Amino acid sequence: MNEVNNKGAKSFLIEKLFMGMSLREYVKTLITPFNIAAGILILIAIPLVLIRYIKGIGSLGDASNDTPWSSLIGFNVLSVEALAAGGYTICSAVYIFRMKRYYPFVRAAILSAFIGYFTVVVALLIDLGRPWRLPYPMFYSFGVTSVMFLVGWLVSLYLLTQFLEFSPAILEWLNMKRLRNWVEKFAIGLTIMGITLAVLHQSALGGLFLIAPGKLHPLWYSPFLPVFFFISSIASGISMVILMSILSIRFFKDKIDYNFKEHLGELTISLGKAASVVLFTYFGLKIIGIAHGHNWNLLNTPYGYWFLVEIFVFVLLPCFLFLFGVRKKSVSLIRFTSIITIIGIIINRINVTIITFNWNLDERNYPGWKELLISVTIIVTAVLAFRWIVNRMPVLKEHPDYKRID
Amino acid sequence: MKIIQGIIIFIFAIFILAVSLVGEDEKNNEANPLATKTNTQNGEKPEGLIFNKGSELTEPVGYPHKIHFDIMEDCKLCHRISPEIETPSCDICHEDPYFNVPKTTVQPQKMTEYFIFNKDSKIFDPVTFPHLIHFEIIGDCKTCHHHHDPEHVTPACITCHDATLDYENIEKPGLKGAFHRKCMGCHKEYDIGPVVCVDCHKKIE
Amino acid sequence: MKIDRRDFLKSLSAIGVSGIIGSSEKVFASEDLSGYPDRLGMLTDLILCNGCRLCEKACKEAHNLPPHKKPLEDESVFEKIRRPDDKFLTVVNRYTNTDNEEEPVYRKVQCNHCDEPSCVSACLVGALKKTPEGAVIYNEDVCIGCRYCMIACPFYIPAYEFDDPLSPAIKKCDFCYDVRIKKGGIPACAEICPVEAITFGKRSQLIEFATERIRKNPEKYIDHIYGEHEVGGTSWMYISGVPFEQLGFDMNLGIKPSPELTRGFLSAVPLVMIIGPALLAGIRAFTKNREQNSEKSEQKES
Repeated sequence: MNEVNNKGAKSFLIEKLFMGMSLREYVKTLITPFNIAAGILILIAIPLVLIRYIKGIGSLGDASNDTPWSSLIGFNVLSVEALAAGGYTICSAVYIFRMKRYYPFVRAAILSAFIGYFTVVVALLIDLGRPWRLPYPMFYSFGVTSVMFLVGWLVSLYLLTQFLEFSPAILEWLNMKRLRNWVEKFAIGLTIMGITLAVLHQSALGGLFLIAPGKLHPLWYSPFLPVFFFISSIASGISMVILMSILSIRFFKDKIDYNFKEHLGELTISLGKAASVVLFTYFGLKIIGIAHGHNWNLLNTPYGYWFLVEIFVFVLLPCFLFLFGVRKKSVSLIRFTSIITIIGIIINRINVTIITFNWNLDERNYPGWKELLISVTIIVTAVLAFRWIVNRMPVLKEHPDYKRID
Repeated sequence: MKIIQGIIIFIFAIFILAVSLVGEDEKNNEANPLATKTNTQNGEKPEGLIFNKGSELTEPVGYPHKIHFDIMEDCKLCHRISPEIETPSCDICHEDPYFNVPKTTVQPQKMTEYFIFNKDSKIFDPVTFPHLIHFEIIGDCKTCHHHHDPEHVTPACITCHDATLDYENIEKPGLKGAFHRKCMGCHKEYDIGPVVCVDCHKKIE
Repeated sequence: MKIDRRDFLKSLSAIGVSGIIGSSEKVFASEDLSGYPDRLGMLTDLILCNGCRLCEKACKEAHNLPPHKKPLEDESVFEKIRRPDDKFLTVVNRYTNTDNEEEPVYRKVQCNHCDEPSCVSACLVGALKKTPEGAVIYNEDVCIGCRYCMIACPFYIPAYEFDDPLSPAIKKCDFCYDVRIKKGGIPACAEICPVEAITFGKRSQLIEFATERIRKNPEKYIDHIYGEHEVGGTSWMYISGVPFEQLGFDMNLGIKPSPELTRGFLSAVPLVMIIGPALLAGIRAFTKNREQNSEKSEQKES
């Protein structure tokens, strides 16, 4: 192995990309059940995407004139952006409120946010009618009265910010010391910018539906939608960080610091405490939302029951479970609860975009297998990308050559 | 086996229903001989009619309609209608059909018998409008010609109703609107005459 | 609704001021949103319409859309309530008249050309526009295909060419803006309607005309002009002899223009953009300071 490393030009490829293994060794490590399953998914999804570009969005067969947005928007854009909230949540905890204990999570959270937002762009490239015009709202034609305009700008700026925030890790990996130190100077500015953008655009995602009061079920529609989306994104961000830490320990044993592992239990518990408070706030807001719209009578309808399931099983229950876990100092309970919370947030986003949207129409269409398969494939690919980066770059551990700034 | 039984019963039930409905139709026809519309083109003429059913003095009168037609071979000898259109029932014009009293006393000889409308259309054949018959049925010029004055020549519709629409002046219907609303309005109100487009406007083949 | 960039910037500054004073949501409402006084409109009299569907045919011809597959006389299309789509910019639907079952009521559906259209406010590239003539028109050249206008439209009107892979466009009634109105003409459907159930004219005159017609025939008409006030007023209005609810009209839309719904939120954004970073930096400075102090005191103690 050392011999190979010394061969100069070849060493970058082998050391950086194959993680010090020869090509054959590397390929061998790739053959795992998860990779094979992912590969099959991708192999099915690629032709479907190609067909979309040959026959139109209609070939996916889900979106209709009444329900123009299907799972690619409902799941891959709205849900994933909520799940990618870990980035700004942890960043503000560490850099703004200076809770330094959470520092080990920062890079992973930023990376997950960046990849999450990147998948959003990928989904848009498939779902938009003319994806090559994606930069139009930025540079060419401006619809300043649109919430979507805001979302477009915020998401693209945020994506850029996340990339810059993560770039020190890439530069450390590439041993570009000077550039890395230069970029680090902007770290705080970028973080503050990133948090502001994230707060705005998480709420803007909710704001997208403000314009359709007649179409969204009254229990889900509320003038507070932006606030709902913002608060719930914090809960989902925290839960995602907890979930990510479990997965990291499980799958990246050799990639994490002793430091990270040592304090993880303790940190998870305090994250759980935070999540509990946030969820309780969210629950309270939801109740105020019903009160504001005088929608109490709607609770006794099928949609009402589903609403109650959402706020009791997926908001209030995890809120108490987190609290219980904190009191009992049970890390595993908190981890389990974080999964419930994530599912709950996804359900909320899908409720808003797909399930209760157009609730008053007689004929409705729901996402079909083709679009769902593409949705899932995008997520799986994102996981692969996350793994690829964590395996190579100093994400969960500190690079020996660089001491992290405060 | 039960399924087959069920199907048989179901078919039988439908059969009974159908038969009873047909029977009802026939009864209805018998009850209103005067409301019967016949289409001379298709030759669907009632076999016989029964008149004077309401009288307390005499029995109802049976009238062998088809035999009369077979002998005379010309509807116009009795019904004053054009062979192109459906025969209206007599009491549309004649208050008492048995004594043949016309509703008005205007002399119809002075009037144009037919008008041909819509000669320029590329989609539809021109429309033949039996003017005289309409007069005989309605009996009052003012129903359609709202500026009619017996002393003068009735002004043509186009004098006021423009052939092209003008959005500066929306109070008055255009020519096309005025015609259609008048024709169809009446036909609908009295439930007689064509209301579907192709009944008047035959499509150019 | 006329919102260009200058107006937007103007309103941004207004928001800045009012945000400090304390009122936020009504800033935009103070602007003149009465629209274009001479805008045109349509009035559909549902009592007159007899469902001949010539308007559909004329519309297709005016917009170069594929012709009907079945002849117009074929009544089987009425079995289902249809909505406008990419092949039919307008459709006529049949509803049973509960008062008189023998005489069904027909309703023509198309874009209502709102005075303050939610689609226009929703479009992120400004592809949709309300013209001074009253038409809400669409510019295919900048559309990116996000379909947010379809989400925003309270009347379920914009349709999308889902089957077009590379140049899909939004399809909706454009008041025949390019092909007729610009040349001083009359929209195709209004021109062809045999009974002139569709009246084309200045919106203000149409309202007078409709009010007059209702006043003269109170026993025939429902005393309501649909579209006079709905969602802030629409250019296309309806009068009817049967209650509008029975004809699939949404009577719960309210009279608030849809763009108002997002205005409050949008006006808060610039505030957050400016105050947010400052606040965050302030908190950071505060926490950092406190930390250093505590570190110092710890050092002293030790």
